Amino acid sequence: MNKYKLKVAITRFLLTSLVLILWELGSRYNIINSFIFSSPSMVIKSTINFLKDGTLIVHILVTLKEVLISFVLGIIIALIVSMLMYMKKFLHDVLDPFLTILNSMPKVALGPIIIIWIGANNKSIITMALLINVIVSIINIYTAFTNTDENQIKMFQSFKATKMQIFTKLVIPANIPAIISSLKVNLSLTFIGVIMGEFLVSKKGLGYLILYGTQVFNLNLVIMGIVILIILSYVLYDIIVIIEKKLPAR
Amino acid sequence: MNYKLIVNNIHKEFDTKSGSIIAISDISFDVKAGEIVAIVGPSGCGKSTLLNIIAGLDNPNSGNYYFDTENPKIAYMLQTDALLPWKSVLDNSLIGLKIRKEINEEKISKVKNLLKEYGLKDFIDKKASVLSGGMKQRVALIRSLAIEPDILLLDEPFCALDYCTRLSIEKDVHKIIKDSNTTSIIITHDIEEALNMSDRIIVLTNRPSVIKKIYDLPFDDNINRRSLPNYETIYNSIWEDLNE
Repeated sequence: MNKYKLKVAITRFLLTSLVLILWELGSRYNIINSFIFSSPSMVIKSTINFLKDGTLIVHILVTLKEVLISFVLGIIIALIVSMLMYMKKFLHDVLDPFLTILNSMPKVALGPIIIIWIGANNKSIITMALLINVIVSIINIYTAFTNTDENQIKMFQSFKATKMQIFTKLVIPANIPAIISSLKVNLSLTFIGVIMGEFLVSKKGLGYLILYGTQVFNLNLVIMGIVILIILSYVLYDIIVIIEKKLPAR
Repeated sequence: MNYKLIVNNIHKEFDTKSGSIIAISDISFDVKAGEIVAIVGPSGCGKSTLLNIIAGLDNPNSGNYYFDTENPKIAYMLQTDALLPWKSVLDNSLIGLKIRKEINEEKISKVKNLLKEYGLKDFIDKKASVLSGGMKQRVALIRSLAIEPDILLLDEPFCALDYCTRLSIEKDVHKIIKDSNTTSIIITHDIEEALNMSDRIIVLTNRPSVIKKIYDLPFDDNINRRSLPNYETIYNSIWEDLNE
């Protein structure tokens, strides 16, 4: 680690520590209301209790499972649809206005309908997350595909490459960075979708825990849920960054 | 005469919002086997359109063209090198062969030899992104020649290079093409480039483009053309053709 990076890391650590210390002191000396604002020590205590009785792990695993399923499905659907739209202009021209409408629509408005149609189970949560992540991913990936260097495409065409050869040997590899960046966006949207879904219809998961904590006015629970969500999304985001670094440089 | 390509009365129009625009009109010429023909014309006169038609990437409104073989192998060298930066120099050079499913050990070794011969020996396994502009154009040319084309089309291949690199690469490219005896058409708006590289120059007019004049160049391949007395005369004559 070079000197500059070390300086950045130390400053980040000090900043976080300062906020936590001020929060803890404020709560202990009644400068802020600990019932409403909780405190780091109370959150830690609550986390330990939930870990001991095993419920926290169950909630984390439920959310993690929903996130991973929605994320993987979302990216597979987005890749297939973008590929078909790129290969078949007709399909793009047909789908384009629908994608624009779906993208601008607040998807949470569809929540109650999804629950009625699919049922009050985790399939509704995954559908909610897919609705939120898949449209943006399709638009991002398709746009990247269409921005492939025209000269490189022309070079392939001059060698009489088929459309499939152009797609697999040029368009996909040329757009790996765009696909990775779409994975990152997709991940944050998936978390939003899953938590939104859990708010609407669930009996387990971090979204349920946060909502339950709010209903019973247990702010320790709410903050614990939020912190675990942040850690979870940070870890998954970091996995994508590691994969990105392992890929050959473009 | 052994002709590689015969072009007959090619005519091409484009539909625009303000109506139809004639890009090229009634263009006819031929290219002999092993010959390098330069097509010179002002910017936007339809030179690239003509090359796209010959490459089979565009269709003329009327007219036709014939090669001396039924399924000619056409290699197209573009204004940019169009190398794939994530692939090695060797993989870039072999891409045409891979697309055409003609790759074999003998051809790989031939391409490696070409890379070695033209100053890319130390870069064979390096990523294309580390090469200089001139080196990239050499790789692009070797990529085109790897498929052993019946005809090589060069669309202003040096326009993105600086003057000094262009002069040196012109010389290299001319030598590589002549050594491989590849029939070629090069389009350019640079009269010097046409004079230095070709056996014949076809001068096109502004749009709608027609052939203004054809110059058979009386130059030997192995000498410095710039030092010849009639170099300047022909240069001036083409200059006048283009500015009339």
